Parts: sequence; C-alpha cells; structure tokens
Amino acid sequence: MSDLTHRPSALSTSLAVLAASASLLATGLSDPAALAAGVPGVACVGAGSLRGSRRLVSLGGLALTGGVIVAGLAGGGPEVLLLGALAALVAWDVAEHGIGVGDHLGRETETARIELVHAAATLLVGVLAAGVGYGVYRGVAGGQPVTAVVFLLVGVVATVAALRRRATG
Amino acid sequence: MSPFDTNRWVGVDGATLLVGAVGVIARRPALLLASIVGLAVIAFARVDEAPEPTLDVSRELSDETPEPGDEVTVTVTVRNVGDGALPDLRLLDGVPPALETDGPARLGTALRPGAAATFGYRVTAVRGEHDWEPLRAISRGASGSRERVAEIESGTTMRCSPTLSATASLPLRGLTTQFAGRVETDVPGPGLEFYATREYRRGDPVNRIDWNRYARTGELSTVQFREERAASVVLLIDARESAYVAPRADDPNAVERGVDAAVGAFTALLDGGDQVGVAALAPTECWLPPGAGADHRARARELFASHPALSPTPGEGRFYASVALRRLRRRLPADAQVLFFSPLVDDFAARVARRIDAYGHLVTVVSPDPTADSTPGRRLARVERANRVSRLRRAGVRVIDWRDGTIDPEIERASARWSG
Repeated sequence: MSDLTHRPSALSTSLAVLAASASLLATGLSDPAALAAGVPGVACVGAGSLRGSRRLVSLGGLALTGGVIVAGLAGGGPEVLLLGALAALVAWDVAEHGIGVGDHLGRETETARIELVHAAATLLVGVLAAGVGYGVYRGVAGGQPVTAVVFLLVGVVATVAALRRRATG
Repeated sequence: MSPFDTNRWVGVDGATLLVGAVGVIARRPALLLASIVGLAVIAFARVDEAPEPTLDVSRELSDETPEPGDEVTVTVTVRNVGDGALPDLRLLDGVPPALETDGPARLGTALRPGAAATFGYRVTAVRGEHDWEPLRAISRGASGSRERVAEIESGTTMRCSPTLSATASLPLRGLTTQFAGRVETDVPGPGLEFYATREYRRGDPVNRIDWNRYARTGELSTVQFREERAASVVLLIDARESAYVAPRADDPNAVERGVDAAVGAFTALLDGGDQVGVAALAPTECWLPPGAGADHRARARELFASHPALSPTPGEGRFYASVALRRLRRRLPADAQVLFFSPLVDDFAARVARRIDAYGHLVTVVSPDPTADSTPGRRLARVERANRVSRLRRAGVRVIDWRDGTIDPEIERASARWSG
C-alpha cells in the first residue's frame, strides 16, 4: 500500500479560506474593530485546514464568531451580520469536514464530489434560514423591537435546549 | 452496522447561544437575528440521518492470472441500488495484504439512487492466490452529524503462478542415487570429464583406448570418465510465522525470497535430470514427494502458486515443531539431499538444519538475509544470525548467505569456497 497523506484536500482548504475571508470582509467593512478578531480567525482556519488540525479550525471559527459579535456591538446591520455568521459557519464546517475526509481517504484520493455536496448542503440550509429570518425581521421592523427580541430570545433558547436534549438523549 | 453520532456539531450551539445572548444583553436585534443561521444548521444536523449504503460492487481485473511482476489494473464500479441518495460516501477497497498498489484504492463520492461511480488502481502481482477483502463503505448524511459503516462483499480472486525459470544450477553434494544426472561423482564410468586411465582390459570399447599412449609406449590403456548421476533433492522452505521478515517494510519477506529461490532451484534441478520434491515448515501441511516429468512440474507450479503454506503473508494456525520434524523425517527418502530455504532468524531453524544433517541427509542452507542495521536491536539480530551461519558452517552444513539482489552471484561465490 502506498502511503497516504492524511491531510485535507486543496479544495477544502481553499473553500474554507474563501468563506472565512467573506466573513472577514462583511464584518470588517461594517466595523474595522472586527478585523482584530477576524484576521486571526482566517489565519487559524487556513492553517488548521492545511495542517489537518481540528483544534486550530475550531479556534478560527470561534474568532470569526467573535468578529461577528464585535461588528454587531458596533451597530452592524442585519444583512452584514447574517452574511458574516453564515460565512463563518460555512468556513468552519468545510474545514472540519475536509479534515475528516483527509483522515479517511487521504489527499491523493478523488474526493471533490463529497466536499462540494457537503458545502452546498450547509450553504443551502444557512441561506434559507438567513432569508426567512431576514424576511421576518424586516416585516416586524416597524413594531416593538425590544419585546419581539425578548420573545425571539426565549424561542431561540428553548429550541436550542430542546434540540440539544434530543441529540444527546 | 447501526449509525452513530460523529459529534462534529458539538460547540456550534454554544457559539450560537453566545451570539444570541450578546445580542439580547447589548440590545442588538440584528445580532440575535444572526444566531438564526447557527440554529438552522443545528436543527438540520439533528434531523439528518446517515443513510444505509445499499451498494452493488463489481471489481474487474485486467488479468486474473498474471505473471509475477505484472501490473494489473483493478477497476471497481460501485452502484447505489438503494432508494435514497448517499450524499457523503467514502469507499475503501479491501486490497489483499500481499499486493502493492500504485495509488489510493479509495474514493469519496456522492451517489443518487441508481447512479454509479468508478475508481481504479494498479497492483503489482506477486506469486500466490489473492482474495479481495470486502469493500468498506462509510456513509454520512449531508450534515455529517451521523455516520454508518458497512462492508460489502464482492468475491474477487487473482491467481498468480510463478514462471518456472531456472536459476544458475545449485551445486549439489556428493553421490545419492543411481540414475544418470548432473552430480559429478568420484566413480569412474561413462561421462564427459576426464577421470583417470587404467590398464586395458579385454572387452573395453575400442574408442576408449588411449591411442597416443599406445603410440608412445606400446601399452594399451583405457581412458575413464567421471560418471554423473542424478540426485534426489527435497526443497524445504521455512514458512513459519517468524520467517516472514524483511529488512524494510516494502521489501519482499524472507519466505517470498525463499520460495522464489526454490522455484528457480526446482526448475534447474529438474532440467538437470534430478528428482525434486518440495516441503515446508509451516502451520499448514505441505509435501510434494521427489519426482520428475511434466506432470510433476505442473503439480509443483500449482503448489508454488497457491499452496496456503507458501503464501506471501503468514498463514493461520499454530506450528507444531516436533510433529512437523518427525513427519518430515519419515517422509524424506533415505538418499535425499535437502536444500533448506530459511532466513535463520531463530535457533530453531539452525537446529532443523543440523538435525536433518544428523539423520544422514546432506543439507545445503540457502538463507535470504532479512536483517537490517538501522537500530542497535537490529544490529544485534544481524550478529546473532551471522553467528548461527558460522556455527552451521563449522558443523559441516553448507550455507549460502544471500544478502539481496539475485541469488546467482551468491551461488557462484559460495561454490568457489566449497570443495567436493
């Protein structure tokens, strides 16, 4: 058996860096302070994906999320934040998936198909959710934001908690 | 196999809650809105399930009965015969352990129902019968939150018989049988090589009379030639598990080299008119009594190709040393010489050689050297083996120490040292 290089493929790495840069661009344009978290985030995602390190990739994902939060605190618009969050999520997901594929199949194997299908699935789900969320947000924008936000929060926490319990149970 | 969680989304819900919570505390509705992306993906991962891979696997070899060293192209076609799509399918082919591939025997793909994917790789054929192991399919859902592993059987076998090509003729030892052959004896008689002259006796053929001498001295004398006789030889191959050793991971192991040398010796001896048999020290019984002729040659080719005792990877089962030796002793014809192919990696192999020698069979050990010198432990093993070789030589057993490359020059060198 010839030796396999158990690293993510170049496709995964470039897709992940592309998505991470998109997140950086969205948050950074909204508020330059977000660059402080976003730039190390892109670097971590890229390096982690190159070296096949899940820890680095997760750290990068967290940093990109931090960038989104900073941009949000600085008063970024919903479009910018949705784009930043979606791109950060896709970057982390593609990089982590690429590491798993590299572990199983190695760099020399033909794997473009599963990587593209996986990235497309995550992107599709994220875009649909962002679209619906944005539509609702615009629809209720004229009403009482604070009340709506509190109810939305209760809903989010309850849903995440429910999903979490079912996932572990 | 039942599906299990890959736990890859753990942590994302934490980040999602963090974004939402900061949004609430800082009164930034847009930030809370952004957390919906994470929420949707977590929900997707929760409902997503790894589909059962229902696959139809067919494997095609460009040549099912190649010669050793041939490159064989293997084409694997995998068809999704189930009802659902397989969005994340990783395929690992079960290449027989003895075969070397040129690239990965793997594929990552996504298959709609009814769709097929093909991948190929090349293997280098080595002697033996090779069965492919089941193809391993790892299936995940689109989100990758659940995983399922399946093994799909598709019986494929490659048989690779050695070509019986002769090596340089191995020097045999002394007189054993009464048939004409290639062992030069110290018995005067019909032959090719000059042996001696003796006084003419009535009835000696006229063309054997030494006429030069008659012209010189007036005395009649007869020229005698060295008689050549056939030997009965048993090729004994050490194929115990401990003999499956090689200097480096990708080198052929000592059993493979031993069998290769035995194949060459078998042909050379049989062509020379000797009677040749094959035996192995292995967990599985292996015995071909000495014989000659085309049938015997075909039987031996079959045995070298596919006998489980001589396979390029260690066989199953335990090796009972004393039983095997007793049985071998009973079977060896009284006049048989033994060519013992063993890496001599333990004292047992050396003891076997001396024991057979003591039973009255002439023994030549052909020893492929599997030792390396990269670590102190390996150097120690090399020294131990060298000591074993010299002890055997002192005890009167011939040893051909075969380091690497082809065996012919080693034979030349060894036979230059031997006398008689």
